[in-house]
Amino acid sequence: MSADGVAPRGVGIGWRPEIDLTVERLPGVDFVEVVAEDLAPAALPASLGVLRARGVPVVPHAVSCSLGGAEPLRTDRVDHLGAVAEAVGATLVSDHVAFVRAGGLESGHLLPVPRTRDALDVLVSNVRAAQDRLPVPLALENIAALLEWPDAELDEGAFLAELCERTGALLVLDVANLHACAVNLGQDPERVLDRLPLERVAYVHAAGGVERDGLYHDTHAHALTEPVLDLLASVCARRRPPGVLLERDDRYPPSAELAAELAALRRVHDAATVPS
Amino acid sequence: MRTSAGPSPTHPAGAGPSPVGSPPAGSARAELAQRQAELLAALLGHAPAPHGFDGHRVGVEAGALRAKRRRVLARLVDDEVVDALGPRLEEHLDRWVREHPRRTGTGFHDDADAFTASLRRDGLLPRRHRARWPWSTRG
Repeated sequence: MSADGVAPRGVGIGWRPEIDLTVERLPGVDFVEVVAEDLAPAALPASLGVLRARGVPVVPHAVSCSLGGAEPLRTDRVDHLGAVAEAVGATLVSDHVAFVRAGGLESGHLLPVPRTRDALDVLVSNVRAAQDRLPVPLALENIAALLEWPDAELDEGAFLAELCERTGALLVLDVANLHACAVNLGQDPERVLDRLPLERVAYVHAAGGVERDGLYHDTHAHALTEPVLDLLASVCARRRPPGVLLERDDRYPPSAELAAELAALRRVHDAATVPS
Repeated sequence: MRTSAGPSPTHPAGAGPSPVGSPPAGSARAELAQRQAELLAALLGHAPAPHGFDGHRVGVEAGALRAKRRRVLARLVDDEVVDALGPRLEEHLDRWVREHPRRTGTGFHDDADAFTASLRRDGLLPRRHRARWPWSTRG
């Protein structure tokens, strides 16, 4: 399945309550993404209503479905994501290739899954179960990892490609996360991109981070860096994604800085040829 | 160490997990569930890093998980807590996140409420007073 029919187009930004007015006033915001867990479908913030009235698409993005988790799938989390999708008129929702709960405890943070066939089978099973319950297509995001499981059977690109193949899921391709895995795990992002079904990419995530003691931390609290913008350019040169989204979750800068970052993303995105 | 999810006593009624079937014991899924529980236990500071994981990286990631939870809680707690604890907030948050892992079925708001309740029990917050309206007949 190609992403083109349901993907948001252009350059977007993560809507956050702390910067709601900023997002409303920023020029050139083509779409927004919202964290599904932060929203009550029956009582959406007024700011989202303002954006929707303007025709700005809203993509709900979940962090707690734990689709890579081997515990029984929490269908209440999936149903919540679906309810938010209906409330905001979304054409697409997303979550991550990760787990966030195990042994009855919550990590509160996206954790990597083993790149084994057994783990892939669990992920496929959970994704299919989620797709059966969701009202719109589901896109899956690659995460930044500081550690990896031993005994991998597949590389990252092959793992994600087979996941898409077996489920029909779309992708949220996070280039900052690709960079994090390059620094932290020695993963070659170009090799990952070689393997990915890029026509399945609904949108790209770009965010800032920081390197400390030789490890890259995907903070979403710092400015975009050159390696991340370079990876975006590489993705766009291979196949221009429909949308690109700036993620900022903390240490919010003045709106002029956010506008400049959106402009930087737009320059890279616009320079690429639209696939025919 | 717990190895099964089970319903949480704090999870609101009518919003249960409706699991897609618990994995049969001995299945590949059950084995993965066990391995994920072992990794998470290590990341929460309850157990050593499982075999095959880089112990240093597990420590760094454990620190990142604690820091993230502290940041979220610091944003969610009432001003009353921030004002009462001042510079000691971080120390109390750190002790809380280390000693009280968040259970499945509880959200960040539940976490913040439980943290606040524990501070109150420990006498670290001023006693709450009922609002006294001028026209109230109650003492």
